[in-house]
Amino acid sequence: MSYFKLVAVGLLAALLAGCSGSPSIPDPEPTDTTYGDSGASTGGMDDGGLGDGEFIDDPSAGELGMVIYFDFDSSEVRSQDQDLVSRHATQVSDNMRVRIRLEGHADERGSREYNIGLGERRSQAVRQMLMIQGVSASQISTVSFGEERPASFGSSESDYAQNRRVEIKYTN
Amino acid sequence: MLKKLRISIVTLALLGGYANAELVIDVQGVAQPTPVAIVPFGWEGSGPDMPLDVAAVINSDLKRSGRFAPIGEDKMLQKPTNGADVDFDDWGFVDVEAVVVGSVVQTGDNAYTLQFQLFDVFGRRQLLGYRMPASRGTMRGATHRAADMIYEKLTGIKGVFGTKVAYVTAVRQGQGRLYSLIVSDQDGENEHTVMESTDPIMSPAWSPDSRQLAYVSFEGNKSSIFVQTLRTGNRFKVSSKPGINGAPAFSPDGRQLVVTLGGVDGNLDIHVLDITSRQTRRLTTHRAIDTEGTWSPDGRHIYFTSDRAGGPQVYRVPAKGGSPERITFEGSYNARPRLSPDGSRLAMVHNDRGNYRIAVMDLEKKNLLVVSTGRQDESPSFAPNSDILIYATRQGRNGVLETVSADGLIRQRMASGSGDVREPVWSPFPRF
Amino acid sequence: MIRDANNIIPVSMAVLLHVLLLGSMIVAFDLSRTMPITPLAIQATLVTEIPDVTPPRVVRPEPEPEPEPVVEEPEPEPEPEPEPDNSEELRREAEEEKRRLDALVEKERLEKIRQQEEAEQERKEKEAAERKERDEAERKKREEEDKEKKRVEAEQKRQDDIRRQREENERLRRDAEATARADEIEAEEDRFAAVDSGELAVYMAQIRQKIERNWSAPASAGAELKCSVRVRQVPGGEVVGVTILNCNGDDAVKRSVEAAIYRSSPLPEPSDPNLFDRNILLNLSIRQ
Repeated sequence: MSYFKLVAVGLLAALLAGCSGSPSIPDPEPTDTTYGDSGASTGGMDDGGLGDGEFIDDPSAGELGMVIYFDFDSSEVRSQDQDLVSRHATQVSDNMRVRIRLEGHADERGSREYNIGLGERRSQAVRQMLMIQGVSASQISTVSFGEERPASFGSSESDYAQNRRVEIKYTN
Repeated sequence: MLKKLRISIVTLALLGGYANAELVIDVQGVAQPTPVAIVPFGWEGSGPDMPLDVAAVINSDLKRSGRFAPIGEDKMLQKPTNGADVDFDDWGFVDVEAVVVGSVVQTGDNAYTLQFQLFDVFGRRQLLGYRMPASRGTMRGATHRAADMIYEKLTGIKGVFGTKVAYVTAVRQGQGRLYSLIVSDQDGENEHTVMESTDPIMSPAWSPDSRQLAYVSFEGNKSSIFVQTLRTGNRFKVSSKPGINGAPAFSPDGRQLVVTLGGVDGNLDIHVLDITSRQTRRLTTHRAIDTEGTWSPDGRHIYFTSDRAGGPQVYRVPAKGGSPERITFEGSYNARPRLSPDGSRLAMVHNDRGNYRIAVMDLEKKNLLVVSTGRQDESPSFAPNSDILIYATRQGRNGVLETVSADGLIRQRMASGSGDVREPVWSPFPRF
Repeated sequence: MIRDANNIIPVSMAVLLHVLLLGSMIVAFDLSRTMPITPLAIQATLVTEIPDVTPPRVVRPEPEPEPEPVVEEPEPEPEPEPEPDNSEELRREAEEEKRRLDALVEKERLEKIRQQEEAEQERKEKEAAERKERDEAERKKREEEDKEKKRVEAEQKRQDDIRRQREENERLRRDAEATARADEIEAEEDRFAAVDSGELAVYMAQIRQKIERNWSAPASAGAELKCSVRVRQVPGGEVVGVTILNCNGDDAVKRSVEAAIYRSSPLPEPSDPNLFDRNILLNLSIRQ
């Protein structure tokens, strides 16, 4: 290792040591590395099955639900979630400076890049619904993580159900 | 007189097995690993041990291929390190069909000569003999090349012991995960981390000259495609358009990438990107998900996954542009196509009665062979000799890597990094 | 991560730092150890082939070249000396000369006589030798004639003996043939009895099983493989020869077939020795 590189690494390391302990950029709310903490109380759900599953907002939080779940092989926003989407639509369209990011996800089954496509389909479904309700396209960005950022790590049907989702993130 | 008559009748009536005063016997064999012996190599140099146990590495390479059964040292009646000392009777006695002997001789401070000879025991003759220079750093590579030559001589198939694999690992770290893009020797040794991030890394792809990897990174919470030079670690972003940027794969001439772009409206389609100019050319326009493009080895077609027929199937389109044509018709889910380097076969992820498994289709005969046995198998990739595939499967919660011969018969678990391992890609043959 | 426009600068700087740190972490490592992929420095693929194990050719030393003959240089000629003047000398020399010449003539005359006598002597000797030769020739001729006579007599006798021996042999042969045929018939009957009782099938199966067990067919042995091999064995089952006749397999297959047969030596022996055959023809294929 050349002396120069040693110094360079040392300097950089020293500089970075000044940053916050998180390995990523200092951020008041590191939401990209947490799962299921987006406000939806997934704890309220039991693994009794998804057939009738309704993911209920935690009423005590008083916040808007931030996750929308999808049926197997589907990118249709379910009727029980449409009200939630509308409320977000109102919140965003009320304030032109608000930006949201829709993060689409899929369960782990099948091929990874194809699952990116499935996650994106879901984000787009929510996006379309928001735009129809008056949100400007410039306020919405979408990204799909496919199966790469599961909310739940197992391989059961209930894990899969928790992973088929779109997370709504307010970016400012 | 009567006696003579009886004899001639019986002679005429003689049934098989006894024609022309010779026994005729039909023998049916089955493919089995060939018993061989790799004799511990001789060592001449400073220090008690040679820099690398060459015989052990060759032994392990041949054994892992599934085609050879090397015998243990305890069974060897003699341990020559030179061809002149080989006693064919001794080796015939322990039933091995081939013997490798050799030595490592130190010729300088960091200079060695690796020498080996391969013998046909029952033919009683030498098949190969080579001498190669090596340093401590290059000894392992030289040993793998020796193993390649031995393998090819004995099987007629080019060996891939000197090749590399790249894969992604995900390890829990605090609240999130640490993703690493790793390159190692095909036997799992010499792991090097090429890229590390707290955001997902996907879809690594080797350049045809093995010098670069393309991959998708989600740093900044959006997907971008990078091309990174392995030797220097330098990388440049080749695609970061709004929406999805994904599934990169190099063209055979290394100058282009087939990529998936989604755009603002999220309509995933196949595009061809010129690496130097960053210009893109669109190949599909359908509103379906069109992704996972890969080039045919002759550069004429791009194969990809599309669900335009309802569920994912494999299609192909001329690389210069044209109408996509469907390739797979068996089963409701066929995705992530990858062609063998000799152009004869197509590997894919195939749903087989509820299980996602790797299947290989002969492009001429069109028959589909399922070659893996898990429930969640994915990411097949051919070795450059078109004879072996690597893919990711599950062991409990974690992903692990396995290799399988193209006929599905020989399967090996590959020792790889810890954590959840996924998306293995086999390097091309190294070009020196 | 990018939540607020006000964070852009510190955030992008931090990103830059991370990228630089990551990059320098990777670049800063010793390139030949932890750094990704150093192409092998070994050039020129591979080098010298080690020659075969056969014993080295005996190199005969070259004969030493003949030493060059020493060429002697001729001595330089001495210069001629000047002549002195001398008339007294000249008279004395003339007398000398006359005396010398007389002596020479005398010498010649004596020489001639001697030669004549020599010639006479030679002639006599020659005659004697010729006479001797003639006698010798006569004697030899007589000897030859005697020999010839004896030879002819012996030859005659020999021919008679041969004729008598032939007749004798013929008689013996006919007897032996008759016996041999009888034996053969008996052996054939035994063999057929063995075949009938299934012993041949058992014997062949034992050979087949042993070879199959010892055959590690390589991956290149395809479903269409067909190899015919002639195996020669000696009583006891030891394999003494393997000849591949027709085989559509590659070298690896042929090697494996040879190995399988030698590994099976000694081959199983039949329970009935009459079944033993020195030649076996194997037809090899792959089990489907």
